[in-house]
Amino acid sequence: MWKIVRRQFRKIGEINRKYSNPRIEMSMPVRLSLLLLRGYLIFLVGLMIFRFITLLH
Amino acid sequence: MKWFSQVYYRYSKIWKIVKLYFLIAGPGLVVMIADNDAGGITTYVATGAKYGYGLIWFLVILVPVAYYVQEMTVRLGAVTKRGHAEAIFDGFGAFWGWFSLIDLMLVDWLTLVTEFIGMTAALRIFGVPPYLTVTAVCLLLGVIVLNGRYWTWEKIALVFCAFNLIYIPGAFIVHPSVSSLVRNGFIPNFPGGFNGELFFYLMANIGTTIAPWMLFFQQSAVVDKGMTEKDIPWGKFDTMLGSLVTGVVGVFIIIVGGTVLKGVDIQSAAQASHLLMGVNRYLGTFMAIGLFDAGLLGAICISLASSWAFGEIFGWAHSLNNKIKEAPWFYANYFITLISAGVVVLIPRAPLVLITLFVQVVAVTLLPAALVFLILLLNDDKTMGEYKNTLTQNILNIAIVVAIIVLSSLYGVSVMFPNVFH
Repeated sequence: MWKIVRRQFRKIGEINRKYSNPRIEMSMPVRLSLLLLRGYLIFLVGLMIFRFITLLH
Repeated sequence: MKWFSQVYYRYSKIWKIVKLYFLIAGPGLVVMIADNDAGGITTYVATGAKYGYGLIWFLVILVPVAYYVQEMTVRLGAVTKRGHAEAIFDGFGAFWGWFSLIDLMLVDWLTLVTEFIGMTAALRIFGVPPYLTVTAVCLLLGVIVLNGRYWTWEKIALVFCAFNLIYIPGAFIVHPSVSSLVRNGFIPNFPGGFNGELFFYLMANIGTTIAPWMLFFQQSAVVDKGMTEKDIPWGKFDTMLGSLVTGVVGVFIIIVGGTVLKGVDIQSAAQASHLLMGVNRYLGTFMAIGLFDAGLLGAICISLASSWAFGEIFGWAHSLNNKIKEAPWFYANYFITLISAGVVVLIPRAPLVLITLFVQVVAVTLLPAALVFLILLLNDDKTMGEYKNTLTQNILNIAIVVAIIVLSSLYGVSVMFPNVFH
């Protein structure tokens, strides 16, 4: 069992190395889209955390 | 005699084309009809019960919207021979890849739970206990995927798609007023004026029409089916037909809700089935069978979407053409997702309502990302070559994607903060 888990973790490392460099050309529109997406997701996750905390109280 | 032979020749030619289409038909039709899942049925009935025929026009608008979004996955899958998850990893790197994969796994699992909620509720109407429904569904889906051929799986899924049409005779049973239907349903209007509640319903309808799992599912299905560039026109036609069918079914469900349940506050499709049983036994039965079928179709597709995605990334054999011995991780992933989602529904006092709401919120984190990646990949000259988006496609698709992102995000926010638009 432990062997299987270790193998999967090694596999995750391999995947990270394999896809370490994005293949798509990082032009200005692509960079801008990804930046906006990051901002959007940070805002949304922040909103979820806020909702979760207010629910707990 | 000559006239007869001409008619026969034309008929046999058309019949050959239809037969050929049904051999090729698949991912587009299945994904679009599966889009009318248990959550979708509930949204349509509730929309009809709240606004009568008043929002049918909006559903008609959503038909081309769904087509344009899904059509992009056909091109991307056929050209790259990669599923959407692998395309994201490859195109945008490991960070965005893991984000999409883990988010997809979560959304799919939660959506699968809602499909089981729908199926158990539908069969409870006929006196079937939930544990029996969950066991039977898991066994049935197991038999369907373990036959070892993508083609057979797809044709079985298409048979279940046909059951989705059961709402059409249902709408004829209630005898809707055709003049009222044309006057109120097909002329764009905002019944009762544009307010927060109406906005919520519009957003809910968009949320059920475009779901993140659909993008991942269709692209992976296109790859598993072995479609190539030359099959793109058929794939597009398949998707167009699917979006039309799903729109028509949605309209007929709204007609049923708008004719018989107008003014009733509908919380679930099972509640609607109970109420319809009181109006007409056949109608209630149709609604319950349709709800079960919708949940089953959703479960068939959603459980596969994440298994395909994990298989693509981890390099496991991940085709329905593989036997269980050849692709053990793929099938293990499939069954763990399926059975665990089914078991949750059987847990006494499980927070099922919270799960149903949570699906909408989590989906909002994945859908915009998946759509943005889709547009960017479809504009990558190196990958897509002559199949990349044209200027017109870009204008149309970017407008659709921006509108979906804004509206689905507002829907997610309104689910988290129910009074925000009231």
